[in-house]
Amino acid sequence: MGNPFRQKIVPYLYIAPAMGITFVFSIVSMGISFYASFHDYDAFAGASAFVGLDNYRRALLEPDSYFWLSMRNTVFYVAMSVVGVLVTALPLALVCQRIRKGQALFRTLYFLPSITPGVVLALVFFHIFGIWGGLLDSAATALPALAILGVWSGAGYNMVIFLAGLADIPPHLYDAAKVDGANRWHQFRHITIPMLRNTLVFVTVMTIIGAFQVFTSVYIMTNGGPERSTEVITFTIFINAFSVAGQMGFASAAAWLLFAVIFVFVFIQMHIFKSRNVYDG
Amino acid sequence: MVETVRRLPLFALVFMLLGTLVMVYPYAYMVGSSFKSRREFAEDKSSLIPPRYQIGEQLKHRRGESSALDWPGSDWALFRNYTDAIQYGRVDRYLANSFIYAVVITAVQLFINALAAYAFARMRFPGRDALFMFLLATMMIPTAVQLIPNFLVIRALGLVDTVWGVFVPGFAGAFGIFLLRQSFLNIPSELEHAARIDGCGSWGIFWHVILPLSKPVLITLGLFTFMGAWNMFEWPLVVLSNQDYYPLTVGLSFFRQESAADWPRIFAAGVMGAAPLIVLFLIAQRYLVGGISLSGMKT
Amino acid sequence: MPRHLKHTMIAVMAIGLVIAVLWRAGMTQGWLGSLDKTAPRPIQLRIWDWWSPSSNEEYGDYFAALEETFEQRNPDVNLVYQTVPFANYVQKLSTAMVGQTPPDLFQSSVFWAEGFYQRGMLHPLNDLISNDPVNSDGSRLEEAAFLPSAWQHNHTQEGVVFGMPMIIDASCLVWNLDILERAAQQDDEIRAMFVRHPEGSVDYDHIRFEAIKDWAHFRRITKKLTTYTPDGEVDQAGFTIQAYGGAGVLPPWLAGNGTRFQDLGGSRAMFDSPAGIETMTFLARLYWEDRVSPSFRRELTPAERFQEGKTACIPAGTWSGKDIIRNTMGWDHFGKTAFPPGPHGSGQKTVTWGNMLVISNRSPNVEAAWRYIKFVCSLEGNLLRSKYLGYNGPRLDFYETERWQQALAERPYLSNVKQICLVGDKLRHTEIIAADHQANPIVETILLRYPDIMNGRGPYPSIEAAMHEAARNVNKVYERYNRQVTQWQGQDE
Repeated sequence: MGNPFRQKIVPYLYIAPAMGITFVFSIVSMGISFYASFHDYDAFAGASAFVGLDNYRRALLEPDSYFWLSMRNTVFYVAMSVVGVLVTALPLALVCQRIRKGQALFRTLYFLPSITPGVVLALVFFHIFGIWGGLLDSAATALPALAILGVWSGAGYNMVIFLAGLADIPPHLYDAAKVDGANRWHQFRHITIPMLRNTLVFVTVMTIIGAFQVFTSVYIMTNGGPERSTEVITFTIFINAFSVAGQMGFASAAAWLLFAVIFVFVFIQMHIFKSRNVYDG
Repeated sequence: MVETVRRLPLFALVFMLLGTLVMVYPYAYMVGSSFKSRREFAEDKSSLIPPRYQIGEQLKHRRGESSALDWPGSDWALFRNYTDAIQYGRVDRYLANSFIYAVVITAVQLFINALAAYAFARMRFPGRDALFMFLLATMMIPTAVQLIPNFLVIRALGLVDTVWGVFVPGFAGAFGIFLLRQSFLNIPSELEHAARIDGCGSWGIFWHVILPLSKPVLITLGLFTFMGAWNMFEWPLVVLSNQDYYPLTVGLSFFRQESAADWPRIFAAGVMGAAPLIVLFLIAQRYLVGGISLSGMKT
Repeated sequence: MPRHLKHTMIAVMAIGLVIAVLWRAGMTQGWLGSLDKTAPRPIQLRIWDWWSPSSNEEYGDYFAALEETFEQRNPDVNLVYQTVPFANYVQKLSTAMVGQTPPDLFQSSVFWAEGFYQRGMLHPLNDLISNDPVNSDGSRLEEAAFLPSAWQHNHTQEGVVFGMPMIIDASCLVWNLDILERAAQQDDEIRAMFVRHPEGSVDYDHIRFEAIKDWAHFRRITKKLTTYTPDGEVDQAGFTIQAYGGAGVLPPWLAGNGTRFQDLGGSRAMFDSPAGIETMTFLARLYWEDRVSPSFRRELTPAERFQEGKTACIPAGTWSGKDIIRNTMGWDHFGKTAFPPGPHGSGQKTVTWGNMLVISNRSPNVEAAWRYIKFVCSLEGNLLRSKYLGYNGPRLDFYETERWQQALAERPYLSNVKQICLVGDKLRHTEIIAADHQANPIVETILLRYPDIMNGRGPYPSIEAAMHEAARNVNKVYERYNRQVTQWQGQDE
């Protein structure tokens, strides 16, 4: 029934709006930025001279581009975030699981930071870190302080994910282990952790991807200081793209390099875990 | 459920309660400081209760000793910072803007994502799988990397510093298509056949069968999208200049300089900015918390 | 409750919420404004500033007076003000200039004005000045009418004028005269810092312009004014210096030492000259060896410490007086001086600048914008800013007015302000954000890690090496920037 041609194009009509927008704001936008990365580009004046690979060269080779410094700071931040998340959210979930009645209430309370705008949290912690001895004043403690904020913000969210993962573990495995005489640590090591592999991978990957993109807390609290210790890659890109004249091409190049780094990482982790048939997509 | 050790819940409870204090402390600090006068905040940054209400200070005042009640501004009305934030800081405008951005983005995203998800789930057409793979691939582009590219596109379209400049990139949501497709795949096809027999075309099936049956996932996805749109910061920061269009997040970040670092007022604005989502969350938490498990783990 | 009633209630609440949101939302204000039934004014002038009518009452009154007076005299123009914070100004302006609703006029700091002009955002004012330089009150808008130090930043070296000075600012030292007066009872040297009445008694409300003779004198005085707690922390500070935000502390001291941050043309950093290195070392020693400053705290600015009455002297500006009075709820017993000369300098010095009003070249209302500039930058406008905001003006005729004499009498802290503005050198002005991005962290490092650097355990072998690296990087910024300027100018032709 219906005109066969019309039938043929109907599916495309359904997917057109979503695919169109997604296409424009991924492929097209990345294409334009790729073009810009080979030029001197000013947000106001537009493209000027073609500079070839100069922006990339400057990012990778010249120390005053601070690209590698930013990447280093970002990697430190990511590492601290991952460790922090695993050390807080997993024990929290394990403990919370034991509680029968209050679980929902605790989930709600722990979840508050995830639904509060990052700007608000940054403004509050700006002072809290000051009260705790001026953590943002010293190059040694500023980045860890930001990591603490990140971990604190994500604790509830990750705890809920771990809770869901823990709930999936069949209890009879624990029963069998107890019958065999395994103590709690043994149970944890040989049942909980392996069965949580999916969740652990998921949480780690999501934390890494999120931590690579930290911006709001730096922008609000430290502006990259003190002594560039909190200058993360998103901040370097932002300053060069929007606050400085004529360096949007350079910023685009830096953003592409960042994308390459994240892409390589995600590719590696997908490859490593593909064979284990962990999850799809 | 096997109840292994009975004494554990007490330890667990205490542990969780301590953790709750850690979670809630910054909020208590923000709310408490939002009631302080400027002088009180400068003198006493760390207390949760404004000095003029503290029992210790009241007693000192009664005894005739110098206390917080002698400071200028000791008659600061309780909600003065809130009214100042609205009157001088126009926080109500920013809040309303955030609301509009979030509602419109959510509504449009849900609609076009559902359309696309329905086609991917239920229709066969050449290129379907390739296009879907492409969609998944775009999910891998981190948002930070998309900032400049999106700006360049919006600039080319002439939408910089407009409300549409904020809306349009927000309409893209590959994740939603993915989630909805999963959910639509689970709807039994007999229902669809029955509807066809009744004379429904694809639109009819979509509107009368698929959507009503997908209410829970739509609500969950809608809530997530709403919260994500409400908390948008980098993108509006970059694309907007006109103060009238700022959502609350951007407005707050500028508030600090505009109010010349009047921190109690800034905190009052922060409370007003955080409250709507918290209220929404409390009302709808069943969907949200369940939704995380849904989004995270299941396939 | 019956279900349909519940549904109706929810629907009503929802509709009410929607109406409230649409009514109060920022983005609908323009549309709502157009519903106004009164006769619309044909010309809408959008004016942007980092001064905000809403930050406090004085600014609110000032902008209200401005708007009312101008709109009354120009019934065809409607003024629309917008605020953009200082730290984000360049970013926001560039975005707006590409967008749909760019401003017609905006106040520009000297930090950015030349850059805006070179990027092609500003409308040159030369023709407007030569055709129409006389304001309604008879004052003129041309170079001869202004203090020379106010007219340093608003034109290119070839003479293209792109901005009209609206205010004049200078860096200055602000002294807490309560603290000084107390100390002066026991100390002759401090007592000598005050002005004497004609009959010989000390006038504790006025500090002498030449109160501090040189850097050695400054160190002595500030050390005398510093007291310590039992555990050795600075209690009352002689001089509070801030490490965070880096390079901005340098320029006035550099001027005092006979050098500057950058050359006048914007192509070369000069702060790593021997005099510059001497200046940086002097500041670091004030903190670490003379110990006249409290510990560096990011969220506690020198201004805040001054307002708490805990420091005798801070580096601030000729504009700071009103802020101090407002934040301390009325205390005004302070005074201002310029910066004392260092070993390579001579005479009291500082840096001065005149922030200016500029017309954007996307404005369709250049004629109306010029009318606004003629009003705001006239003598009358200067007097308005003096009345509401306590600013001294950049115009020469301002200092002849009765209003200024009255202000001097009412506010003793203004006594040295004109002289301070006169001795000002040109403040740095080229690609400030990018230059600071390079220089600030290094200055922070020098100030925060001075002991390590002196012991050889620091990230740099010496202050000299650190300054040279900062200058190298800043020079690269200038080089890249100037290369682009050539390209942009080539594109326009």
